[in-house]
Amino acid sequence: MLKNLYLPHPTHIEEVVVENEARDIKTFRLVFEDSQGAAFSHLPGQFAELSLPGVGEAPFGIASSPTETDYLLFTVKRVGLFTTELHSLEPGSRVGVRGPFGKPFPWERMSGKDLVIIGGGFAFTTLRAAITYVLDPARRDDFGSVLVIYGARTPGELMYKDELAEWQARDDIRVHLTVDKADDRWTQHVGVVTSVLEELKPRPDNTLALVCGPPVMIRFAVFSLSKLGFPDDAIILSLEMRMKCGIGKCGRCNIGGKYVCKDGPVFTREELRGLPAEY
Amino acid sequence: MTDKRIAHTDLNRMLARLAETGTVYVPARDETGDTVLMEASRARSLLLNYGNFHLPPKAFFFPQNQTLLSFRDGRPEEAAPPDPKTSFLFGVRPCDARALLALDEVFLGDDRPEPYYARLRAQTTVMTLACAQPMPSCFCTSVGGGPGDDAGADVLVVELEGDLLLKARSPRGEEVLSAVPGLLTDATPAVLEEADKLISVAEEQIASLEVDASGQSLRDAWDSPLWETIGRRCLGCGTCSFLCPTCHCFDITDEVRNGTGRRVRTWDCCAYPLFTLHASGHNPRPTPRERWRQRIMHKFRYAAENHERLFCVGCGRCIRNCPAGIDLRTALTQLGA
Repeated sequence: MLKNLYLPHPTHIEEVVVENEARDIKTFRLVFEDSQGAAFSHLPGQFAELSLPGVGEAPFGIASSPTETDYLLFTVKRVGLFTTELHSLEPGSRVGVRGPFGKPFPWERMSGKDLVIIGGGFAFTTLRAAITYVLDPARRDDFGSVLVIYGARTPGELMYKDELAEWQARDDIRVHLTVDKADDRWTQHVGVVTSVLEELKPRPDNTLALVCGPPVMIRFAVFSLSKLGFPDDAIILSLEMRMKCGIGKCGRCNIGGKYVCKDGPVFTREELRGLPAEY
Repeated sequence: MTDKRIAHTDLNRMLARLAETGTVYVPARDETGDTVLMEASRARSLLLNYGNFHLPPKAFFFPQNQTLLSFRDGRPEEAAPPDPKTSFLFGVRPCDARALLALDEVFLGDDRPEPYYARLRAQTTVMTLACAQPMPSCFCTSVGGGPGDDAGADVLVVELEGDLLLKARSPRGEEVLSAVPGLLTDATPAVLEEADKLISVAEEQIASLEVDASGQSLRDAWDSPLWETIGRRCLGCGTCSFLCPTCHCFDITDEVRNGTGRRVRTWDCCAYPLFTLHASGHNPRPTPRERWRQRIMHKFRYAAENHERLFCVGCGRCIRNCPAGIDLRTALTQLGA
């Protein structure tokens, strides 16, 4: 029989990290239990279907970089049935993984470019994978300057806090953090990511922008990037839609004639211009 | 390709011969009076003068429920069903055979062939029976097909006065014809002419409408107020999707009790509000207006763009069976598709 596209590969949870103050975002470190682990080869920007027997499957962006071998990271907000069940699991629990699926960020185009990485809320996951990938010592020289702007509602809602601190201590990446609502100890930006973006005014020459976040943030960030002179094919977005199969067959994640699962989830703004705004 | 003829009286003999190598399905009435594709061994008599099956033969290749995995003690196991039997579907109507080419695009047309569909397709011979009496809801000739269309057929069968014409249309069709040598004679030019004539008479009975095969006419229809008009009448029952020979959207759900159960693929429908509902509560297609737009755009524009083929074969099932009386032809005409 042909390869069963629906068969998840068994992994177990090695570690669970609570990412935010509200405790509804957790990062799961998964380790493969079969030889497929070695065959699982992804690039930042791709996603996978996580599977819990009896509960179902759901798609999540892969939060780890392929340079982090031996495990996969998924950062998941507790929202629906599947994520609630996943959040109840402890290290040692089994989770199935199917993937990787979708098109990654356009790494061949990004080589030699300056990067502006803009993220908001819990959609920062594949951007974390991208940043980790870019900062890999073997790869860092392939890229120019790296500017990250990451926003959350409150300081307690920022994910990957240890890594953010590490990145801010380095001199080969600039990381600007912003929150909608500061607390007493907060000394960094206050306001939406677009206001930070317009304040920093990154130059569009030889630069690509990666944008992941809630729809309203994406809309404003794209608008600001255009104002700064970024052409549509230099603005790279990652979209979300409800999915089932992950391989372009079940027919539910399309935007116009494109399937988010196989033609995306990464699209340039130019590609999206040709599609209806039904997402 | 080979053209043969067989006497009416020998048809059952031919099907019996095929049944020695596989399972033969023929048109027959079931206990409720519906015309269905039935295992020949169960059919009391073979039916040749019928409109079309209530349920399209897609269900044979893409069952309404398909177990993908089974779970035991909470662990998934691959559901490895036995290899499907060799099958012959005799009497598939031309529209439904053409629809298989659309399903092929989705399930086989990229680097990730769908295994369940692929194995059923590989084991099955499609013997299309040309239509002599189209129904009022048929509009196949407006979407690339016709009563004698051989798209998707391994063998095209045309019922004549005293004989049947059998036209091999694929290597598999040639095999079928060469498997029953004693029963067939070569089709004479007169037989071929008779068949052509029957088919053109049938064609003339089908009302035609203008449908743009490129899908480009619908580009300007995105903001049409008609989506709202049609959407208001739609009950969202999903009948049109389930009976459509090209609709292929599916859901995947788990059914488990005490750690044992299965993951199952079931037919789904873009008319359902939950189809695109995100866990966050956001729904990119929140009302019947957007969902109807999706249904028509998918079949008449996106499919044309992605596969250079319309995902409608004009079988008319959605027209015959819509409880709200929505007529796809009217909608297409009004939208200028």
